[in-house]
Amino acid sequence: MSPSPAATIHADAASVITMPGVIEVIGACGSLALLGICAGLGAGEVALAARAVPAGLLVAAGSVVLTGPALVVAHQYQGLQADPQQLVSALSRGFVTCGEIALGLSPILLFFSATSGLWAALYSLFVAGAGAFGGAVTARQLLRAEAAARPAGAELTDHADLTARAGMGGLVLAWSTLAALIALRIGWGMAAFVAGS
Amino acid sequence: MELLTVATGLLRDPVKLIEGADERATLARLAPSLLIITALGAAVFGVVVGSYRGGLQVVFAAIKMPALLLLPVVVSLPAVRALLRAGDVQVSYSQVALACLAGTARTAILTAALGPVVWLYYSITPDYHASVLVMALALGIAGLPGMATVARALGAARAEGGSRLRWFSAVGILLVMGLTGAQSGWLLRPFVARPTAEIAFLRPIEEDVFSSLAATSRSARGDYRGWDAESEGLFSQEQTP
Amino acid sequence: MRGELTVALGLAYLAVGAGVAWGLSRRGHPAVTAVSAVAVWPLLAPLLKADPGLSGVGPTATRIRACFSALAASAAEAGGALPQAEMAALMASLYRADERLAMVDRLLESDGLAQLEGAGGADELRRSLETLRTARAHAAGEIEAVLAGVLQLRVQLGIQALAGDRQPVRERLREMTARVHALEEVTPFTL
Repeated sequence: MSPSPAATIHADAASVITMPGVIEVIGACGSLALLGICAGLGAGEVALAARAVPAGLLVAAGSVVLTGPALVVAHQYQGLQADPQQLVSALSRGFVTCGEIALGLSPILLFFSATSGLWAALYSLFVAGAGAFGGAVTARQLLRAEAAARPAGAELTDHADLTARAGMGGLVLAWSTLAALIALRIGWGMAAFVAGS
Repeated sequence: MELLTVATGLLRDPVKLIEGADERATLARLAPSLLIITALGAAVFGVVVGSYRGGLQVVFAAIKMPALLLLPVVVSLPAVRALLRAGDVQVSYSQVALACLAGTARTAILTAALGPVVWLYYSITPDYHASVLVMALALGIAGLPGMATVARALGAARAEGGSRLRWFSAVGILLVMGLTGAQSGWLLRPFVARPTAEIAFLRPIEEDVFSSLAATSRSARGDYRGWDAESEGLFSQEQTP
Repeated sequence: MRGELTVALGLAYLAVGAGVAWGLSRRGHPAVTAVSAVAVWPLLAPLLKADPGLSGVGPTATRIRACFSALAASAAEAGGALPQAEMAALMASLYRADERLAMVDRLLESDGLAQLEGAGGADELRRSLETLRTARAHAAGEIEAVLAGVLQLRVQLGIQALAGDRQPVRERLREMTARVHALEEVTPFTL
């Protein structure tokens, strides 16, 4: 079982956000695929079910992969303090959290697939929810990584420090918005793909 | 006597009842009592609800009501734990299971306590839709302390310093439990049983709770399309006029 | 197709539940718990990982629970927190010892042994049973002594509340755990 995101966060200057292991990332991918399988079982057709399986995974992974490099580049361009490795770790932790939540939601989706025709609506809702949570965890860890990398003894009234905080806050907000929009766009395409149109 | 002790503890201070150094040992110790209390309390409420129609519906409702309380918990348990962990609440699976079991048992006792009120209402107002709403209202009123029990029991386990994400988790958990609870109620219907419908243990699985809510809102406006009395279903029984 | 899926999932759920129920009954859990597991196994599955001794089914289980509940209550009143790791270790050791007592009791009360002994069984069997009874009495006495020590801890908690030093409590818990562990190593009987 992967550690909770908070278990790997410390607020002091020597803190490190640990990069999830390969097994954890593969587990997250597997969990998202499992959510797709649970949805697909409610589809009633094998072809439709097969197309549903990778949809959630592609939305989550696509959003992270497409926005990750832009985040790191913008962060470095702004001259912010956190180590780029920490940013990547934060993104990975968010993806792993998304996978954990998808795994937890799988029995519920299976329940609805077996007892109603709501598999598509709930699949979309659950992927969006898991993604939102993963994004929230990532945002929080990005802010913590930047706070941990700030020089010790920085005063709140220090102009440079205030500028850095605002810069990181703005960057995280912009990244979150971009990631959500990209996830929506990929999701739209996936919905059309699953529906067969 | 153990049952009375546990029931009293559930009503007075459920969090204290379930706390312990080893949550698995506490779960092992309390699980039988909590399950029996859930079954008995919910069955009593089921008897009251089934009495609206009478006859075999009393037995059917008494059997299904414990399932109505336990099914959403059983289905949602992994999601609850995943959402809590994502919200920085460090809990083990055993702690979540114990808290949910205690919350459900507490709800069952409170629904049994509300039984006389519901029976009194049924005895003076024969309207079917209102009877269903009163049943749902009673479950809702009894369910709130149950959910509060779960929240307090698990909230005590959150990490030092807490996290704003736990509120996000709480909303997610409410949504998840609400969805599964609603669908469980739909699956296990009927509880009150329409006066014109034939008594059946379970209706066929059709549509979902949300489309039924839409049909109910149409019914409330006098549009009864979509409410054909079912003549089939698990253990259905012919109703002779 | 949905109907078939529902039936298949339902059967799979019950099958897993039956497996969990069997596992729980093998571990000595009460019948209510084991039977309930067929329907609500996600709630009870963690008990499969529990140490059998933690199920609390032996002759002193009730007293163990009562002693630790009283200790926890005293700690709460004194405003202090008990060292959880040491508490859990001591409780686990006591429950294991209690479970062993239960096993010996079942053996001593079994029909076959009673008949053999009563019908003038071999001297060696009688001596072995006598040794087993002596060992059982020794183990029960040690458990009672440790439980008395747990109750004495309540007094120590009061002192801790004043002095703010948890070390004596932690050390005492470790001593008692070691004493219970010793029961697993020195069992003076031979067959």
